[in-house]
Amino acid sequence: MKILLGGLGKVIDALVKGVEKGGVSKVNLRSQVKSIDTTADGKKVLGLTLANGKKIKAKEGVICNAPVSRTYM
Amino acid sequence: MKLTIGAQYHDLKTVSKMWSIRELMGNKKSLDLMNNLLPVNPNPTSRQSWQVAKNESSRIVAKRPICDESDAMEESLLTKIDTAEMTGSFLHLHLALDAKDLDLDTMEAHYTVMARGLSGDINYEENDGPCGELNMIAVSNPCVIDRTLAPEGYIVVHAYGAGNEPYDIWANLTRTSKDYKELKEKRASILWKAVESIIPDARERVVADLVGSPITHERFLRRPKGTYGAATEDYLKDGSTPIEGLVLCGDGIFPGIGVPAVAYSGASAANAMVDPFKHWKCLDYLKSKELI
Repeated sequence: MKILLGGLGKVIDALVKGVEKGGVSKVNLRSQVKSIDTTADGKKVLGLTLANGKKIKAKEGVICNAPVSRTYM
Repeated sequence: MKLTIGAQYHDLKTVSKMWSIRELMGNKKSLDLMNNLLPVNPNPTSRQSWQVAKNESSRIVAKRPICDESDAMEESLLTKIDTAEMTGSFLHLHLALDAKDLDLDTMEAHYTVMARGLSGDINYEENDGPCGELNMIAVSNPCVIDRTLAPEGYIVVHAYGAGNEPYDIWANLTRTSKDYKELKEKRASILWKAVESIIPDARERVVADLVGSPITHERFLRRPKGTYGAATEDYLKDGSTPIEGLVLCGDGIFPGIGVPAVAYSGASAANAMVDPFKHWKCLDYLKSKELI
């Protein structure tokens, strides 16, 4: 049986290490996304706007893991 | 030894806003595209696996709304998102226990405890069964396989009802209120019983205990109504969207809820961004290394 020593946090550490390997990508925590930005016609993704107003341009696209359910708050 | 855990969370001044794909799409025209250019319903109705019956007592009932499956293929992406049924939330009991005289070698790493038996109790709920409200309780005892998870002489135990705790009964409670604390205690008694069925004197061994509710899920995991994720029948079949460069992943998309499934959907989404010839090259490389 293969087990993961150190708990689930180790999975996250490994994933982050994988993403940041080679220094091309970075995991940004505490960076609340305000909106996914598109071209005026809505057909193509341009990037993101963070809650602090900073804009991030997408090189390839945006992969979004937000819940599909609406919030109804 | 008695620990105080989580005190730092009470000082949080700001709470991250809930989020969802619909609300992140800033451009209305993108929403129109996701809705097959049909008028967008500004106020769609959510569906939940668990609801408190409105007509009588406070009986909690499992309800999967009946929908015409033949229409499902015609639904727009936005309609599917808006109407995806939300599974119930969680109730957690996290424990740190004194392990004196406990023989971990004779214990299991994981137990499933049926609070009302495998077939449920029809006196409790007409349609009760293995998936009934807080019936199937998982008890995780991970120190059996990894002793590094707690200091020597102690163990950590996690008991939880996965996706079978209704949100509605918690919805109107303030986290700091007496009612909230009382409800936590009342609901968690089922989890305590599950733990006591394995470690009878668990309460006497407590070093730290934490109860997590649907409100905890909502607050710290930013889950609408504390949901586990979309119901299996309502997963999106993939993360594609009509908007170029936007791919969805997560527990609302096949293969659905849980860390392994969500990691898979993330990997699928990332792969969708890569040219097929690059995939091919990558496969050739893995083959050359005899990894596949």
